[in-house]
Amino acid sequence: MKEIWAIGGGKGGIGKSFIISSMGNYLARQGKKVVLVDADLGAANLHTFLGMGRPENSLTDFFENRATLSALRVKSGIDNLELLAGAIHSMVPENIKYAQKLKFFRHIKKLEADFILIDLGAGVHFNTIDTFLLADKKIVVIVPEITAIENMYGFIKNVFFRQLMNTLGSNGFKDEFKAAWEGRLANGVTTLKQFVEHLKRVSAPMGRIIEDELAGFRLDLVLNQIKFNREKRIGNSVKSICLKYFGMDARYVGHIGVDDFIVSSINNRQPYIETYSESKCAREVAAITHNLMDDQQMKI
Amino acid sequence: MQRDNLYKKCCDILEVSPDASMSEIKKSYLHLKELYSSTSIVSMALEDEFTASDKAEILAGIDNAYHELMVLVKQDLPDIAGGEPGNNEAVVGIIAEIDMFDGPALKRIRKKMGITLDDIARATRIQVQYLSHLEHDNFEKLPPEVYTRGFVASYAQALSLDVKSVVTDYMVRYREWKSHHHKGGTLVGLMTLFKNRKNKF
Repeated sequence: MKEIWAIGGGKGGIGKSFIISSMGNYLARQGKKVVLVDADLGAANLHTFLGMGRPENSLTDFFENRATLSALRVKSGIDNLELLAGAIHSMVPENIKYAQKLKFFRHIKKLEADFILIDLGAGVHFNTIDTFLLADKKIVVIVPEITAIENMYGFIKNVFFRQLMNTLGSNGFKDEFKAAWEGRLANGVTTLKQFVEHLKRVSAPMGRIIEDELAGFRLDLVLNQIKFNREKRIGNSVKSICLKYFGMDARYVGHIGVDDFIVSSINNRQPYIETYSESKCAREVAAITHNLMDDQQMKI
Repeated sequence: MQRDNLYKKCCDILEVSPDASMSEIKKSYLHLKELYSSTSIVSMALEDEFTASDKAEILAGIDNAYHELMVLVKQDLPDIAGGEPGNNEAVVGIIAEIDMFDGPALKRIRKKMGITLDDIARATRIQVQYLSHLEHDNFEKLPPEVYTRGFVASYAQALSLDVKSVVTDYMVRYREWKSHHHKGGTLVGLMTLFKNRKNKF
């Protein structure tokens, strides 16, 4: 069965590309057919993480109708692993039209692979969020820094709000949703959780859809760049806050430490997970990949 | 059924799976208590959004779930042993014959009571494999002393045995093994050192 995984997190420089490219590499070496999609349209450089030069063709060719998505796949030099390259500076999420986006999603779903791994850029633009929502596994990266955690909350709130809007919209409640949003302040609604409660209160059918369709909505949390053992618990804390403050289901699938060799591998264009396959961080990436595949939380 | 639902509900609030061990439940409980009663980098970003009363409500829910869970676990204990062993003559007979509560003796008593290891595991939240090591005196497979002591006590309590005498008997033999084990290690170490020297010169 085909699975789509997407990785996001709000802030740049927190290791999203490193993690998703390493997971792709690991899955490919396990014999899975993998396509990595570089959807960081503003600053695409996933190819570098795979030790490749910049591919000639990129998603720009797809959005400008010069090529099909499938034809844009390039071999990564690693068996079973292909890349759909992004384009640097030439495209930003704002420039993608609605119809193009739908076509993009349709074609992503049709790609032949066991795993389609999507790397997203920073920020909370709705095109980024919609791509994230396309995935079966929605991976959110956090690092133990307050600015990254702030951005992460911003990201997941946007994700959840968008999911709520899309779900209710596609069930014919677009106007009700809009009205509830516009009247939120008059009703004393200041948080996302209160807004969900408010929606349930104003309409029982909307409440039922929220209960039914959002029950399967879940985030998978990865804690990256931890330097101390005590920081591991940050993953549990964020998971708890997702559940108890936002009412969102979340799972803590693992943590990754720091290793200077990660940066030097990228600079030398060697995939870290291959060159240092027995290192602590490589084993942590492998464990996270298995947890995601097996649909389970990290073992304590 | 109703009990299981309540148990699961409490586990959900404490963010552990229903098959979590007692120590995992406690660890999660303490972590959540700390998270919602202090400010950390994880909650700071949401200070404006969630008020002190939101936090207080969550904290109360966590405390309540933990206490309900403890009540449920305690209720489980006498149930599985079917009351005092004094009620069952055959069991009393066996216990009278025992002069030392070691692993095999505990196993004999348990079997006579018709209780399975799974029953005890459910009531004590100790993994079956540890209970089995305990009954087979596989000391090397058991956790460090303080934990093993706790396991033995929970086991004895689950069978409604005299906890103090079971723990005393069991731990005497455990410590005996431990001291031999450690001496043995040192002795082997010394011998290897000696052997190496002989080879060298």
